[in-house]
Amino acid sequence: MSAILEAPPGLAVTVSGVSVAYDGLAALRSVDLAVVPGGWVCLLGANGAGKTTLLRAIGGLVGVAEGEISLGDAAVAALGRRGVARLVARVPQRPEVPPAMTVVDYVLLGRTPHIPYLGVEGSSDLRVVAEVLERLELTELAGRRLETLSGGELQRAIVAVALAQEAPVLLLDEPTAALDVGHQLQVLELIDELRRERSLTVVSAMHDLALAGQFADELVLLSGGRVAAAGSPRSVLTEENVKDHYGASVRIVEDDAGRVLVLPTRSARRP
Amino acid sequence: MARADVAERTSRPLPEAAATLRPSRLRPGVVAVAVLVLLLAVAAGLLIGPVHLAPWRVLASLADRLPWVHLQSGLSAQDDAILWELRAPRVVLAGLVGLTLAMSGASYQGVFRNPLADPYLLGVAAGAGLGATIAAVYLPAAAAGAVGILPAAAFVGGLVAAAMTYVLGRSGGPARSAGTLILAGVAVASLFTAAQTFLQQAHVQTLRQVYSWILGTLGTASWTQVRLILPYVVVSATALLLHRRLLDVMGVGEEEARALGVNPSRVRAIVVIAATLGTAAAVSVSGLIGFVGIIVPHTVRLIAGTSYRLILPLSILYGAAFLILADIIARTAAAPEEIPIGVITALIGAPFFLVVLRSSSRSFR
Repeated sequence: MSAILEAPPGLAVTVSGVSVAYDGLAALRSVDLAVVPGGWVCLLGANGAGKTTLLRAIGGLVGVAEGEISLGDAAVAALGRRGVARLVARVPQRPEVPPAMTVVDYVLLGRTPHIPYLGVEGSSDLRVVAEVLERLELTELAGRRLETLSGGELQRAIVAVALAQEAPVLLLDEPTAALDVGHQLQVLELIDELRRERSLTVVSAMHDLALAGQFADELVLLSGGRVAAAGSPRSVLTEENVKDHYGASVRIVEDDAGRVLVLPTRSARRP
Repeated sequence: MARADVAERTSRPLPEAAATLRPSRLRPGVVAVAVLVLLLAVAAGLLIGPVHLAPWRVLASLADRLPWVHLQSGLSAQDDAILWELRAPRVVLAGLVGLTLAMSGASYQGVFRNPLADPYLLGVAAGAGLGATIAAVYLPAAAAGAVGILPAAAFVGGLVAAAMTYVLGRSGGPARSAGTLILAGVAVASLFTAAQTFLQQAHVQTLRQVYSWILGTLGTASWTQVRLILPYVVVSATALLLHRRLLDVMGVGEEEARALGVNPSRVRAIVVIAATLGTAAAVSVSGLIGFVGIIVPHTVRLIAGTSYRLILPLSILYGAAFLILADIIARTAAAPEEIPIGVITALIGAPFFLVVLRSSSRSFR
């Protein structure tokens, strides 16, 4: 029960002047980012623009050469690994899934930051897991091995691990890359519902510009490790921005409901 | 969510489904079966042999050793000696070696996420072989057959090899890579084996002694050897059992383990050191007994599931039982000659290894 009380609802994520380098190569150069408690910011940018690195930095998984990242009032660098894991849960891009593990065992791994280092889970941990499974409609599948799940079910299980962490900040790295369009929408709707229910602060990286524009409050376009544009979907998703930073021509259309739609267009047909 | 909300959530009863959730946990029935198998193996180990001992007399003699129990077993002095100086230490030693090899194998498999990892992975076997050879060649007392010197040298050799592997594996690439550690183990093992072969070529007279040790034997088992390795086995088993849940966490990969608040390098270091210490102690008294660390954990996986919370404790129980039974075969199949126990486990293990290899692409990644 203490585990549930420890996760404070709604936490701001602040990234100020952060630079990260891998083996001397700059991956992020003085990036600033502010996410309000309960907000959803989506990182855009071509492959190698620094989206994943920024998510890893927020999760404390990569050292920051310059600048500071804070979760609420606490600096990530000062929190320690378990401390960060209690505040930040992450849905990785290509998680390594132990194929023979059952769904319930897998989701229980999400409780790790709340379980004493050499201890085992208590009844409160099982309660959280039961709730998460129920919420994600995985209860029926609890005893199944992960290798027997369909793509959509597996993605829900991966989200369930992150939810079982009961962290107020959720990082999503291409959460829908492996899914068809129907399941993409399902997973993103689910995350949005969970965000509202639990006041989660969400930072995601996404390739699908149209979906990003419809789910996030704010978009941040990264290019070469720098912030190239940031703001509302309407201000960031422009034909020029996409042309400049993805090298792709698109048409931006706004529908009756004011949603911004991004349509890739083929350059003039070859003769 | 507001605090009131939280209180409401925690106080309300479990969702109905929670009662039916069955996460991997040791269940009493499963443990009871394993304990029963072990007890049967122990009984067989005490009763089977060239001299017939009446089961009820053995039982009485066992009970007599309990505090505050005094029973006349009716065993003759000679039978009593056979029971207590020959069979009992041999059964206990086989049990300790078997459980150590099985749990070390399981731990290595978990921490390296490699189903074919065995207790000798980091060069412990080659190091122990070299240590034993050096002792046989250069220490006259060992050449004269003094008990205790060969095992001690093997123990030191095993630990030196494992330490070298660890140091090389860390310097050879990114400190966190499990792959470099395994490659370093291969390199160190080759080096030590080459050195051992060189020494043996130059001192052919030690060949037989070293060779019989390498094949593995429990024929010289004594209470002294039991006392020698017991502390290492207890420390190793305690450390590994405490890490059983973390071995499951390691299954999601290094990056995700870190994201869950675990330090994979530290977990791996502790588990590797604990497993290696136990293995080196076991090897020093038993020689090289192969495949136990593969056969037992994989059989446990088949019957109990893939969580290390089950695999580790059950591997300990079944590992002890397995080696006690293998030792019975070793000393009775060709009686009065003894077959080296390493030959028995290899005969069972090699085909098993192939089965694991074939199915590993499916159940492991």
